[in-house]
Amino acid sequence: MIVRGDEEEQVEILRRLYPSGNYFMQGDEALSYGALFAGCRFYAGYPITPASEVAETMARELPRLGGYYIQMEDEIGSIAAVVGASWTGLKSMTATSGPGFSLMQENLGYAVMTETPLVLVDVQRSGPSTGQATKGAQGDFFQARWGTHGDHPMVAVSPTSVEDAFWETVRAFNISERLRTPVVVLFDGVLGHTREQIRMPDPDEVEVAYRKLPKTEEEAKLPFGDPHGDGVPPMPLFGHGYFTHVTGSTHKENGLRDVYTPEVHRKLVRRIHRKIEQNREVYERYDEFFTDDAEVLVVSWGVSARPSLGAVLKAREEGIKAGLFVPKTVHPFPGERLEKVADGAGSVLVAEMNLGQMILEVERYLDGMRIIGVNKIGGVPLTVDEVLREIRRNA
Amino acid sequence: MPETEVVKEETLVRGKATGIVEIDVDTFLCKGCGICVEMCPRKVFEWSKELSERGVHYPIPVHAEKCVKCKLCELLCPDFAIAVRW
Amino acid sequence: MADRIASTYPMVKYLRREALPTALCPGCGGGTVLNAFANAVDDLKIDPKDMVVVSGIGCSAWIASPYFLADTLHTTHGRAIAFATGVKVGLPDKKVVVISGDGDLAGIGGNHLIHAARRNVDITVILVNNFIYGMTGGQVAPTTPFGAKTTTTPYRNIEHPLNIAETVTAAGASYVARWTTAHVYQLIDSIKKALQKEGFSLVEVISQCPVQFGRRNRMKEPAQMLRWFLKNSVSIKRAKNMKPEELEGKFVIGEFVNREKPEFVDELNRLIDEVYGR
Repeated sequence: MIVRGDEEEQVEILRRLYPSGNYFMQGDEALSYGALFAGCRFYAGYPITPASEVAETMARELPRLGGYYIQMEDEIGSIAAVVGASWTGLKSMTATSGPGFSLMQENLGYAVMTETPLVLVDVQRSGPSTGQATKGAQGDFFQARWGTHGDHPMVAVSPTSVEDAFWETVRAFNISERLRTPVVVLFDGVLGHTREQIRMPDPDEVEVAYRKLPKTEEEAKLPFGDPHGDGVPPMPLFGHGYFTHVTGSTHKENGLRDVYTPEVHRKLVRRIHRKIEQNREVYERYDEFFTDDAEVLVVSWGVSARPSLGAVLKAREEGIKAGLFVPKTVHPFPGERLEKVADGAGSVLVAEMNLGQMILEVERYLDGMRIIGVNKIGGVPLTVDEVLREIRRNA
Repeated sequence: MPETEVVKEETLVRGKATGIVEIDVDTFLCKGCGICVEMCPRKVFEWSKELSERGVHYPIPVHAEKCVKCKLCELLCPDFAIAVRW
Repeated sequence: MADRIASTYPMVKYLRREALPTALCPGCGGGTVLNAFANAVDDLKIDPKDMVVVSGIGCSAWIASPYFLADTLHTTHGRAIAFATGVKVGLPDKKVVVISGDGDLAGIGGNHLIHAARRNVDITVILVNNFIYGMTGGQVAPTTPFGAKTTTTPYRNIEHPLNIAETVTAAGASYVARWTTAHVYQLIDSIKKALQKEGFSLVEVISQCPVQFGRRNRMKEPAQMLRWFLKNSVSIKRAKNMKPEELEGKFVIGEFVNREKPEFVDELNRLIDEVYGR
């Protein structure tokens, strides 16, 4: 029972239950519909503010589509069940916030090591620790990248509006399926609980990808090999008689553990890195506004991109040559593109709802340039005026 | 009481008590834990004099003629090294 | 490719030959559990292609993974049951089995054990209880007998062990049994019952760890531990008439519960049938 999400019967139901048109809903709901349209049919989760509405939406809608919702006893069990379900062929997802994201790190690393497709949504809230549970923030940028231990790559996307949450979640699923990797959606509590208009598309407008399946017995015997040279092994799902062995320990191409041969570890970990590095076109995405002649370049992500755009527009009205660069895929960071875009700018402002995290990536690539952080914590989003003030100061 | 014929071919030791039972021991898999030797209710097994390739003494079903086919040796063996056939 | 295995034991066909011999210590009860499991599968004529075996971390997690030839999922410490729940939902017609240890399933993983039993999800859990954290060198576990010596209770254990079978029974499991590796025939029977039971089934197996536990507690020979099991086992029936002090240090063996109740994946699919397409 593999459900891709674009089977005829599924498309008919999607069209009937969610006719294309305008809807008014929260970000948490919008991303849930994105998941459903992308083919997600398994959700295991645990309630946490401000992500509980994702679980509630999935609990309500999944059974209508023949999908499964389980509420697990904690976040660790949630991501574990998601990995287990993914190996049966189901597109699987969970959503949480900072404290739950912290708990999920071990099994997220397990998904990276076992190359299990899944989507993990972090609706960021003000931290650290319990923090301001009901208030949004952007403090998990590097946790998404490095929260789990060891040398590992990570792919993370970040929506900038309620409607964008739908499409970025679709994109997250497609990346995870194409590259056989977990993908983090770095959302936030502001957009998560903001209600806006979104246009529900027709299912035909939504691209749905599915993981590579083995075409031969040989391919099935090497669930962690690289038969096509793109770094992505076919996935011999459970239940097809392949006798697949999956382990989080370092393993050979056939899946069996070998921790004693250094070369086995190097080969595996490097291939997992190469799988992400060499497939940039699958995940790299950014938005650019007025960057051609920008003298003051604002770089922002997620919820902060909107006041940043508002500020850039106002700055232009005032005659300031401001521009905006918004990475949509934040990990791996689109540093090469940023270098090109920032060429010619006198200052770079990095606007985010934290004390400065993405700015470290910006500094890494734009070495030597004048880089200023526009930071705000306390649970209230940046305003257009706050960003505009900084643009004016650095024009 | 018929005699038990013990034959060793590379890593397979066989104790054959004609008309009663055949007991095989795989000395490649056997780790010399001694469960079979100790738990057999009829003391069918005796320890080998020499060491196996694995560096342990292994059980030889010297008294297979006494076997009552309880199969405790076969079932308790953690290494699937013993087979009891009749 | 030829290997060096000469064994004529028919159950070898259920093993991943290229992974043998096992990494388990000589005399480890885990090997006996694997043996019993293979016999149960064989008796029931279950095709391993219709099985998924899930394990956590620890020596007992190695019993079936990678040694049992089926789809095998070797997960993180304590979480096997949660992973298995996801697998069962996606493959409701396959036998999903968890074979892992006491520290793994009832220590760090206790929460998942309790809730899977509560949910009554149709998985079979073979919990191998050697009352020690063996793989890490022999530290005290939530199941270690009172007074025992371990590497982290070098004087004596001041805690009392958890009664896993009773806890899981109270949590709502359909089938719960406890045996020791010395009671291998009863063990095979219970595993068969557990595999066939629709609902959450637990078979707790008291198992010898001669190297980490036995050696530090005057029972370094595997057979010594097996005799200790036999000497100190008490049937559930007899235990009912014994006082708590008399039961101290004893293993209460038998079937604790065997009942019919609604199963989780069934209920989940029934719900989906009610609202599908609506």
